[in-house]
Parts: sequence; C-alpha cells; structure tokens
Amino acid sequence: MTIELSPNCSLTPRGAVLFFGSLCLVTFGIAAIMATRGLWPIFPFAGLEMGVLGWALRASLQRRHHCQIITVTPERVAVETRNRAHREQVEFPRHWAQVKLRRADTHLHPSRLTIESHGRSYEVGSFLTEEERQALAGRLMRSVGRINESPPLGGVPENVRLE
Amino acid sequence: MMTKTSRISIAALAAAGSMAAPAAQAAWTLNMTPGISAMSRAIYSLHMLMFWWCVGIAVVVFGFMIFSLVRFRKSTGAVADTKMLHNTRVEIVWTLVPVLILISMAVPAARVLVQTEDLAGAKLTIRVTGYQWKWGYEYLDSGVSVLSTLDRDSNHARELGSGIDPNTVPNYLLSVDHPLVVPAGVKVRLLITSQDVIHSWWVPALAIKKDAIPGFINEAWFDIDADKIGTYRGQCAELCGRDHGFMPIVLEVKSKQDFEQWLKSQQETAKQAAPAAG
Amino acid sequence: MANTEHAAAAHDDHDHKPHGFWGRWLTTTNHKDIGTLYLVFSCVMFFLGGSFAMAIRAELFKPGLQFLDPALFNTLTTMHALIMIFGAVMPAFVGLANWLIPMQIGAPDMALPRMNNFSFWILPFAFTLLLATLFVPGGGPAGGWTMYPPLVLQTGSALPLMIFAIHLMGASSIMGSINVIVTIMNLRAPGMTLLRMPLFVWTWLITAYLLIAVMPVLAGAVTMLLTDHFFGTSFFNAAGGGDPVMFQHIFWFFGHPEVYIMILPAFGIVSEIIPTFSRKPLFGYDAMVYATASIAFLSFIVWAHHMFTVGMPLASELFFMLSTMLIAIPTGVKVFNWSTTMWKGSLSFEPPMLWAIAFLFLFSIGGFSGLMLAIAPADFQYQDTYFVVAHFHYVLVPGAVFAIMGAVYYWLPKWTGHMYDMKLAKWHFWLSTIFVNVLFFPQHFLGLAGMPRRIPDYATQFADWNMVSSIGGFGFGLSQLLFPLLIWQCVRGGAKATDRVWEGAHGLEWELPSPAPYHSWTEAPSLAVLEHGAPSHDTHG
Repeated sequence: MTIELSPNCSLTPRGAVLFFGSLCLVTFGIAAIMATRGLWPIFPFAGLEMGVLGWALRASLQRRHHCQIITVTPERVAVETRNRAHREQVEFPRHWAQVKLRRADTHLHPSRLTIESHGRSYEVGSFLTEEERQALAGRLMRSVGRINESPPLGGVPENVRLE
Repeated sequence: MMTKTSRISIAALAAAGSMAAPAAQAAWTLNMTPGISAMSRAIYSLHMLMFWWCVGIAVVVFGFMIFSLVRFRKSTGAVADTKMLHNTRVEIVWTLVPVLILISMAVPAARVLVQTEDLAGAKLTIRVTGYQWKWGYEYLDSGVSVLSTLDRDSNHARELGSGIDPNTVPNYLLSVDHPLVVPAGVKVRLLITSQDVIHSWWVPALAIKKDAIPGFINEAWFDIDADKIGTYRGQCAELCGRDHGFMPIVLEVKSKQDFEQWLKSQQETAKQAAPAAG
Repeated sequence: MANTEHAAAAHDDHDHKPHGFWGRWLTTTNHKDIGTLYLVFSCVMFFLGGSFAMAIRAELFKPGLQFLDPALFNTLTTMHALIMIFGAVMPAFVGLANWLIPMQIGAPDMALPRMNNFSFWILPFAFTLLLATLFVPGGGPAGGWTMYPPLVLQTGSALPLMIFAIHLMGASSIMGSINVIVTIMNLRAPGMTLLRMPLFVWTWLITAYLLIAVMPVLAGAVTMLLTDHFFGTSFFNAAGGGDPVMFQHIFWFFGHPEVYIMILPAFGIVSEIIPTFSRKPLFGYDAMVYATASIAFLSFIVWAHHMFTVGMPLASELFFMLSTMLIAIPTGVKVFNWSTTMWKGSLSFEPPMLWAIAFLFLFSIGGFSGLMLAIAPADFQYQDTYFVVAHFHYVLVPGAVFAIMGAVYYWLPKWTGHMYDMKLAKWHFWLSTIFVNVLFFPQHFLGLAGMPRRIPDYATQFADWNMVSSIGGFGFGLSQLLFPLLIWQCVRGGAKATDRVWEGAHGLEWELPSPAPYHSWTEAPSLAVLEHGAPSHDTHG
C-alpha cells in the first residue's frame, strides 16, 4: 500500500506570475504617478514591498515540490520525503513499527504523527491539516497495526493520494 | 419714513442687544445656522435636503430591519427560508434606486459648489493671514490692517487652573480685541493665507471655511444680506498648535455707509500714527 | 517545509517541550498562538488609547481648562488616534485573520509562519517607541495623527521616533498582508474555489490587497517629512518650491483606503455572524463579494474629500464629491443584503448577534453622516468640526470595534472550548451600546452648532452637549472593563462548548471539535469534509 502526501497548492506558477504581475502593476503604477509629481521616495518602498511579495510567493510555491510517500509492505514501512533540493528515505520494520499521534501540550498547537520503532521516530504529514492528519493516522494504524501485530494488507494494494 | 434719530436709536438698541445677549447660539443647539447670506442659506438648504433624505432612507431601511427582528424570531416559532439565496430583480432595483437618489442630491450640490467659486464682481478685497495664534486682516485697497487676537478676558480665564468661571466671561473664547469689520450688501473677496502653519478661517454664519496655507493664497467670497447687521463669530478650523482653540474670528457687519465711515477713520488713525511712512 | 525539520523530528521523540512560557510566545510560528498575541496586544492598546480618550473627555466635561495643558491635550488626541488605529483596530483584525483564515480555507497554518511571528513582534517594539515620545524633550507628537506639515515639523525630538514607529507598524502590516494574500491564494483546500470562500476570507483578501497598494505611500510620505526636516529637502515647504497640500494628497491617498482597511474585515465578520443566527445563508453572496471589491476600488479615488476646504480647483472638488457619493451604492447593497438575510430567517439573539445588529444600525448612522459629508459645499460647514468626529467614531466604534467584539464573542467558545458567562456578555453589550450613543450622538449637534475639533476648551454654548458626551465616554470606558474579565473567565474555564457551538454555524472552522482534537483515531473522519463544511451560501456546484 502506498500513500502519497503532498501539500496542496491552489496557486499554479502561472497564476502566481499573473497575480504578482498585477500587484506590481498597481503598486509601481501608483509609485510612478507619485514620482511624476516629484514624490519619488515612494518608489523604494514599493520596490522593497514587491521584493518581499515576490520572495513570499516563491517560498510558498516551493510546496509544489514537497511530498512524502509512505509505503507499507508486509515486511517494512518506508517513508520517502522529497522536496526540490533533498530526498530522504527512512525505513522501519513493520512488525515492530508503531504509529503514534501525539497531541501538543496546548490545544492551540497541532498534533504530531510519527512512525517509530527501536527508539527512532520519523514525523509524517506535518504539512497536513489537523483533520487530514487524523484521517491519515487512522489509516496508517489500521495498516501498520501495533507491535507484534501485522494486519493483512488486503488483496489489492491500495494506492491513495492525499493532498 | 424713519427719522435719523430713530434709526440711530434702533441701531444703538440692536448693538446693545447683541452685546448684552448671551452667547450667539443657545445651549443644546441641534442644528446649523442658516447664516446671513444667500450663499449660506443655499448651503443650509443643501444640508437640510441631505438630512431629510437620510431620515427617509433610515425610516425605510431601519423599519425593514426592525420588522425582521420582531417578526422572524425563533422564539416565536419562525422557520428560516433557507432556499432564499439571491434575487436578481430585487438586487438590481436596490442598486439603481440609490443611484437615482444620489443624482437628485448631486445636482443641487454641484450647482451650489459652482456658485461658491464665482468670485467675479467683488467690490472689496481683504487679505486674511493666519498666524500662530491670531488672525491678521488687511483691506488691500485702503491700506488699513488689523491684528485680531483673543480678547484679554477670555485669554485670562482660559489659563489652566485660572479659577475663573467661563460663564462669567461674555462670549468666552469667541471675542477678540480687533474684529474684522465688513459691509453688508457688498460682495467681498477674501484672500486667505498663512505666515507659519496651516490654519483655517471659518465663520459659520457665512458658511465659509477656507484653509490658510503658508506660501499659497486661497480665495473666498461673501455677500451679506443688507439687513444682517451685527456681530458673528467663528474659529480657526485646522489644528495649528498649542493655541489652535484660542484664535477666534469676530465679524462685525456694518451697513455700507457705516463701514465706509469706519474705514475712513481707520485710515486717519493710521496716517496720524505714521506720518513719515504715509 | 525544509528537509532539516524532518531530520530534527527524527531525533526528537517526545512532544518537544516548549522553551518555557516566554520562549513559546516569543518564537511561536503557530497561527493560533500568533492570532492570540495580536488579539491580546490589541486589547491592551484599546485600553491604553481608551484611557487617553477618557482624559480628553474629562477635560472637555466643562468649559475652561481644568487638567490639561493645551499642548498635552493635542498630544493626547494625536496618540489616541495612532494607538487606536495602528495598535487596536488593525492588529485585532490581523489577529482574527490569523486565527480564522487557515481554518476557514482548510489550510494547516499561514503560508509563511516565521514571517508571521516577526510581523507580530515588531508591534510591541514600535509602540514602545511611540509611547516613549511622551517622555522626550518637546513631548509627544501633537500635530494630529494626520501629521500635516508645516505643523508636524514643529514637533521636537519625538518626530524621528514617531516616524520610525510608523515605518515599523507599516512593515508589520505589509508583511501581515503578504502572508494573508499568499495563504489565501496558495493554501486553499481542494474544492475551495475563490467564490466558495467564506466572506470573512474574501474581505481579508481585498483588505490585504489595499494594504499592499497603499502602505508604501505612507512610508514615502513620512520619509519625506523626515527629509524635509533633517536633510533640507522641500517636498512640502512652499519657500523651497514644494507644497504642504501635496502631503495631504498623499497622506489621504493612503488614508482613505486605510479607513476601508479598518472596516472591510468588519463587514466580513458581520457576514458570518448574521447568517448563523438567522439560520439562513447569506443573501446574495456574489453581490457581497462584488460590492466589497467595488468599495475597495472606489476607495482609491475619493481621498480628497478629506480636503474640501484646502482650495482645490472646482473640477477636483466636483470629481471627489461625486466619487465619494458613489461609495454609498455598494455600501448600501451590503446593508440591504444583511437585512435580507435576516428577513424570513429564524432569529435568535445570542451575544454575537447582538453586536452584529448594533453594527447594522449604528454603522448605518455613520454612513448617513458620511453621505452628508460628501456634499462638498455642505462640508464647508462640517469639515474639522465635531460632526466629522461623530461620523468617524460611529463607523469605527459601533462599526469596526463592535464587529471585533462580536467576532470574539462568536469564536471564543471555539477557541477555548468553553462557553462564557452569557449574562455578563449581555450586560457588556447593552452598556456599551447605550453609552456609545450617549458619547457620540451629541457630537453631531456640537459640530453643527459650530464647535471645531482638536480644541481643549470651548465657548459656553457648547457646554451642555459636551457634558452629555463626556458622561457617555466615562460610561462606555468603564463598561469595557467587563470584556477582558469575561474573556479571562472563559479562557480559564466555563461550561463546555459543543463542537458546533452555535446551532446555525456553517464553515470549516466549525467542523473541528472545540478545541482542536488529537486523540480520536479509531474512526477516521471522511476526507471529503468539504462537502459537509460548505460555506453558508451553498449551491455553487
């Protein structure tokens, strides 16, 4: 069974460029009109601001490249985490692996979902919403089972995408 | 058919009346003054037009809201009509009707606005200069000038912890040592400027408020009704520092003849005071 | 999410212990924490700005100067405005945005959590700077929050401090808006198209857009004040070829969208509360979105209605009069839509609904005085008088502030998991509503009677209504003490709140049990939660 997790991105790169362009048009347009009246100091602030916006859009769009693939086979539970720059793979023996969903010590903070065994633990689904994480936890617990308990995975491998 | 004596007596009585009377407006005042010129009355009418429109719209809209609040309560068994999501026809009507209402407001407003800018035909020009914290008035054609500062009694009473009850000071904070004397029935042009920061010259009875901006000159005009002889008061209307609240304007409106006499006597006094300068 | 965070997680097996109380709050990147920080800060600033207002109303209680030197009075009015605008109202809306937007669009957090933290922590620093000006030579700024030159250039050492504080507040707002915009554009759950978003999210999207467009203008304007004062430029100095009125143009080019920035999120809040307590979807969702967008667009072309007496050419005065009158149309549409949402509904009057209804009536009164102010020749009699003070306080206090209070009363049970003391909440509401009217309604009369604004002492014919207004002020101020008391009680305990809290509530944030869950994993909730949590307007495919 494979579960692929990726943060959802409601903005496409093209959308982002159009959006950024339209805001630049407005902001620099205003700065330009002011500059024609001799009020040029507005320009540097507009530039700074659009710089931060551009950076922010770019940073947020990096989400597109991030994903986590959890593979559960009869022998092991493997988690592969990928983003633009890195790739990381972690494996746990299925028979000994535990799925734990821990609450934070304050209800304002999100829960953390980890796969653990032998003193090692690996967080999955940190970019999911609270509900998605719980749904994932439920699914994983049913597939991975408790220590010494490996429930059957079912006849047909289940491939699920969670965004 | 009045004799000269009776006219003078009436004038004297009127003058005495305006000095002895309590503050120009009564306490608990609710509304703006209609003022002393055709222009101020036009502005007052605009104000009342807008006011009644707002009252009318409020009655309809608040009435609708109050009806809903009373009629559609859960506690009295109302069941919500959850299918009601939008109604294009109603929405178009309640967008267009306000547009029509706004047009009916905008037309008279634009007309009056255009009139306020009509400076043609002015017979007298006075330069008004704002200072921190007093006004200066110069009659440009006659060379007479006057510096108008908060009157001594008011100035004393307003000091922090003066112990003087403002109610014992006549026209507290609204009287000056040298008022601005102007003629009734004559179109007067004002050139308004400042020597330091931005002030604003405002006399409600004239419905004139114009900012006094250093390095620039603003214009305004008024033509006071011939029968509105008397004293009218205003204040600075732009924050100008510490004593912004203590630089009032006093307008003394005289008849055309009395004004001319006054102006001549002022010129005489000025000539006597500075014979070399001339 | 950087890879390094996962490496850290691999070593860290326990709930990572926060770094103590201060560490948590200083370094948090969690949107609920940051939202809480903004709201607490806003509440503190509200009381601070309010205490300045109490001092003002105490001095204006009777004619004559009893307590305050006129220069100090001017400083108090200036600081009252700066604190309320930049310290109370705007941060409160950002706090609500932080709390609600991720939950309402199905996102795990804001798009840029660390910038979010930074945006908040700039504010206490900025306000410390601003308040420090009260103690420097020359005292605090006393030229009004509008900072018109040349007067503002007579400020002493406080000038650069104030300007720096404003730059910081601006930076905080800009970063906050960028965060909001990127979050809304990029982090919406699948299926949450723009025209399915709750109206609160829409109003914040548009508000963020306005902030991004105009904040550089404010930054430029105050920088030019600084250079005029210290570096010999003459942007606003007539003697050097500049124009003081130019400052007013650029200030108000920022300033007018600013006041819409302070009211649009309030519109969003009211658009969430009224449908819930009418048990009926918001009437005309699309129209509400378009009306909000129209208001935002129009807000860019009306600025000079703050300057009708400055001596502009006739054509400009006419243009700004007409464009300002036009804003009444989309605003009216919104009022009609809210009213029609209540029509044929099934209304109940819990505290949030009380605040929303008060908003409807009292904001409309502010709207009416606004329409009167739009009429340029009539404005010659209203400008810089208490009529204007009455107008903007009606739209800001029973407008924006009541909406914020309503929002807190609405969502607090969701945030804390407890219901608050309903009886106390109703006392708070009724006392506030009655006193706010006693405080501000008479100010209409004062303005019409001829009382200018920003004066510490007045002629005796203004005494009666001033006394009434001051009594209203003291009553209103004292009533507000109930608010933090109530919140404190609620945070610490109280009757348990159900998941949905309010019977008619719809939206993703109500789907999550109160407070956020963490233990139930036996029965996985459906992944298609969006179907159940569709925003109140429904039927959009």
